[in-house]
Order: sequence, then C-alpha cells, then structure tokens
Amino acid sequence: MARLLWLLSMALTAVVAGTVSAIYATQTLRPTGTLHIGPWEAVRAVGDAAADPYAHAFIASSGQLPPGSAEGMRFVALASNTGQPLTPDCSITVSGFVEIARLWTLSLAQPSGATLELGETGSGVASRLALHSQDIVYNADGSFSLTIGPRPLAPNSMLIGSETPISLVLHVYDGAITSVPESGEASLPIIDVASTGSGCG
Amino acid sequence: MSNDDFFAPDKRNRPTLRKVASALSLWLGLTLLATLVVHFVIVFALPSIGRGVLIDEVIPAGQSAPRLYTGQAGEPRPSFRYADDRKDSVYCSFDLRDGAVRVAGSLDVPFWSISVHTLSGLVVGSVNHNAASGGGLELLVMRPALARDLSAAGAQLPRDALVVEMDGPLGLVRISGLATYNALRPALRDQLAQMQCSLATFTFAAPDQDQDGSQTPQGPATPSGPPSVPQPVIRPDLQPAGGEGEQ
Repeated sequence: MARLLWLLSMALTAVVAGTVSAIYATQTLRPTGTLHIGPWEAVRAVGDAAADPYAHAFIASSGQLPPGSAEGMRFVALASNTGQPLTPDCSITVSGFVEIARLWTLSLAQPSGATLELGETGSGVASRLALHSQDIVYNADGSFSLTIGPRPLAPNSMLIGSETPISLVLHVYDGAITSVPESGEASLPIIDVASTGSGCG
Repeated sequence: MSNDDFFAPDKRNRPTLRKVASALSLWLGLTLLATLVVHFVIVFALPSIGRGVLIDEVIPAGQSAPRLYTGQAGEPRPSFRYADDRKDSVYCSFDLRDGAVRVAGSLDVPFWSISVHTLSGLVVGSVNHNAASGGGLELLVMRPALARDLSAAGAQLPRDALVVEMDGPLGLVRISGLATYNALRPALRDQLAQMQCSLATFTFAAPDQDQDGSQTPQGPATPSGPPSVPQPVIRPDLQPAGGEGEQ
C-alpha cells in the first residue's frame, strides 16, 4: 500500500507539474532570438521551421499565422519606456522614428497582443485601432508624435476609452528588418504615459 | 535495496532518518524525471493538437481544396487574432496529396506578400513584391517527392515560378497587401479576390529522339501524351519516391 501511494503521489505530482510548466513555458516565456528595442519586443523568424519547440507549440495552440521573414516583423510593447503599463485612460504618446522600415502600421491590441475589436474598447469610443505610416503627419525632421487616449488633441491621435490595459503592436514592412542588430540598437518610437488628470494610473 | 527495506513492514526496525532521506531523494529524483517527460511530451504534442485550431478557422467542414477564401459575397474569410488590422489578406487552403498548388497574381499596392504555412502555423516560405517578375508573383507549392519526379520527367516549370517544397500535405497560403490609404482598401480587396490558387498543371519537354527514330528511355514518371499539353500532376502517393521505376 505504501509503495502504491508512493508511486501515485509521484505520478500525480509529475503530471501536474509537467503540465503547468509546459503551459507556462509555451505561453509566457519568450522564444530564443527575441529582439528587444526599448519597450518593443519581437521574435525573429517565429514560425520558421527553425523555431524552437516552445515557439512552435505557442503558435500552434494560439491559432495564429505569424509573419514570414519576407513579410516583415511584429513588435509588441506592453509598457512605456519607463515601465508604466499602457492604460488608455491615460495619455499615451508614441514619438520618434521607425528607422528600420519604409512602411509600418501601429495597432492597439489586447495585452496578449491579440487583435482588439472595436467593441472591446470600454466606452466604445475608439475611432480607429490601426494607423498606417502614411496616415500621419510628420515633423520637419522626419519624426512623428502620436497620442492615444480618451481626449487626444495632437494632430496624430487615436481615441480610445477603456480602463483595461492595452498593448501597442508595430508591424514593420519592406525594410532592412534582417539587418536589425541583436543588441537592438536600431531606433523605434519612444512610448510615454502621462496623466490626463482623471485619476489615471 | 534500501528502498525495499523502507517499504517492508518491519515493525522491529522503525525507518531511520537515513532511510527516510533515501526514499525522499528517490521520490524527488523520479518525480523530477517524470515531470520532465510529461513537460516535453506536452510541448511536442501541442503542434499536433493545435492543428485543429487552424483547420476549424480556415477550412469549413465539407470544403475541398485548394480554395481561395476572400471574404467577399458572404464567403468565409478567417480572421486571425494576431493579424495586422490595417492589412488585407485572403487565404487559400490546399492538400498536396492532390498535386502541386499554383498561386499567382499581382497587386497594385506598395507592399504585398505571399506566405505558405503548415496547418500548425509554421511558415514554410514567404516572398514579397520585391521578388515579383513583371509585376506578378507565381508560386508552386509541392512535396519534395513531386519536385524530384517533375525534375526527372523533364517538366517545364514557368520560368519565373518560385517553388516552395513542403513535407506535410495540408497547408495554407496567405496573400496580403498593405494599401496606403483606407480609401484604397476596397480596390485592394477586389484585387486579392482575383488572385489565383489552383492545382498546378505542367508541360513536359519533347522526348529526345535518336537518329534512328527511337526514343531515349525516360523515367516512368514521365506522363505520356503530346508535349506542351498540360498534363495531370504526378501524385506522390501514387508514385512513391524510391518505388518501381523511380529515379
């Protein structure tokens, strides 16, 4: 009886720990080759046959079709450059340059990076959830500044009302993506979060 | 073995600290080993389990492949959770057991691309408009065995066609375009709906003839029939690589 209990406890522990660790590793840990540029994070060549088993498992179980290397790269930011969460009842400013690509889009998304639907934006006042690089007004030096929040005033703005944290997804296309250094020295926009005076953050 | 001693119902000798520690160490060691086995079994099994996600998403029950899903006129168009909202895409499902698949067309936008995926989502290959010849792209997706057979049989592939070899039979092609302005997206969607995704047909070079009129022997994979006439593709499941007459 003691031997049976010994084996049962071992098997049960192994199944529970093995399952939990596998789910955690495939859903939470970043695959090898993840690129960090400030708060932006991208996984190189996700989906290629050379992807590690955890990336492969994550892709398969999440039902996504990741971009191929000729299709561009997908950067996700969950926080500002100073580490503040991206809560849309604050004023989120994205400014600077996208040096690594000629064409890019910026989208509002769920914290998981999944696509955000218009109905999921809290008060439902979201005007648009994605911007093209040619949808915005640039400064004289080629930089841009984009404001996201409940009361954006800047020329480039995305109006959204929600208390749920969001993430920003930057898709870059048709650029020198493969030449982005491992150290992440290339320039991507800076993200700032500021109070709007209504108790944000 | 001391472990047996530990489990043995010996009332005279109560388990010593050493025996308890030994049994605990054994339990921890074996549990860790079993945990690792369970962990890796799940990690490696997820791509197979997860295949259903994409199959359900893209290929409704009873639909045949290859077929282009454009989302127009009430047709289904899959919407993937991590896709770029600002980009427009159509998808084509295929089954390479029926033969090679040809994807061709062109889009009039600053950036467009074609990618081939397995049903578990892995990217098999991708190209963008920079690889277009004469403004268009033509992709042939086939299994490696079929590529070998076609090469051996002297098949004449379209000159600018890009060949993507894929081991598994089932997969998806995504054709995407990025319109500069929102106002141009309806036109882009119309162009996407005109992209071609169908079973490929091939022409074969005329058999070499010797001076006495006899034909140079060809591999049995060469279909009969006049040259330059579209021939049915060679099905790898009917002509297995390494089988009789294979080169």
